[in-house]
Amino acid sequence: MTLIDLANPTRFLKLTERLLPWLAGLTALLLAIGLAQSALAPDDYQQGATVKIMFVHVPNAWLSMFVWGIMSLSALGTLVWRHPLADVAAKAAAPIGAAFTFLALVTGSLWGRPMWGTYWEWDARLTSMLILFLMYLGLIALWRAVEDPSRAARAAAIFTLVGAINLPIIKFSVDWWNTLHQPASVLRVGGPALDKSFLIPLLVMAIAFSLLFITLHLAAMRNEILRRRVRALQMLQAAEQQGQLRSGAL
Amino acid sequence: MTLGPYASFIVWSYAVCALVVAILIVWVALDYRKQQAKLRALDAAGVSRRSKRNAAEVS
Repeated sequence: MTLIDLANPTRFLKLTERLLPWLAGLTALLLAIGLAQSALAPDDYQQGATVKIMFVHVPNAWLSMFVWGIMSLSALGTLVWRHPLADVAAKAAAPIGAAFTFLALVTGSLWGRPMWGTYWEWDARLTSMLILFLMYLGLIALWRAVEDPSRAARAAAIFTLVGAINLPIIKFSVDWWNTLHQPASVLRVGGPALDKSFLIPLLVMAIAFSLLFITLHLAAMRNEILRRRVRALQMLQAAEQQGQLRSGAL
Repeated sequence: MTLGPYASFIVWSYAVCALVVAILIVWVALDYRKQQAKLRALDAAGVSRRSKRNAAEVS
């Protein structure tokens, strides 16, 4: 099966059915390993045991931006190539991305209180992440507000591409402005600044959360394809009923 | 394993993550059931996709 074959929703559904159980199993296994490693990780010399919040906060924060990146690629697929699955992929990813962003904000806030002495500060990193969360909600609302799916797809794609400007702002906010948030300690020039005892559980959790996203995304895409089939059949049913009424009236 | 004086912040972080992930999984699973039930109801009402109809007509 080539990549272009996946443009066919029926073939995509068949592949998804085969892949999902394996992906779900692998995700559960990696999450279990990651959680065990997180529990056994040593305390930080400054932060103590609160460093354990990093193992859930950082993967959620990375994924919140990664998902918008995936949606931006899908938006290009909708606007430029009119790929049949591009809008399906973007629409299915949005609620999952919103959930990851929400978790990044909540866990960050719960980490901030003992470390900074406050749950919230209107600094560049926190504010740009909050804007990302609001953009996710706005995008979901946009899809729901526009009834015609093709018009909704185009509007959402433009919104997504414009919103992608926020991604480099989030990433570099800690370098461009003075913030309470610490600068990057994993994805940075010169390699990770974290000790192996923290880095390995963090990377395992990041892979586990990424697999969780892929699993949920494929399942949500399958649901979206089925929802569009239901809509098409309901419209066909309505048209047939209208035709029968007309012929009956004649 | 001792979580120190800020144990509640750590436990809440993991608990919120577990809850939101569980909600996502349940939402996706329920949505799948809902769409399948709708498709079955439409199929039972004789409304099917063109490709399926053509296949039935040919056979």
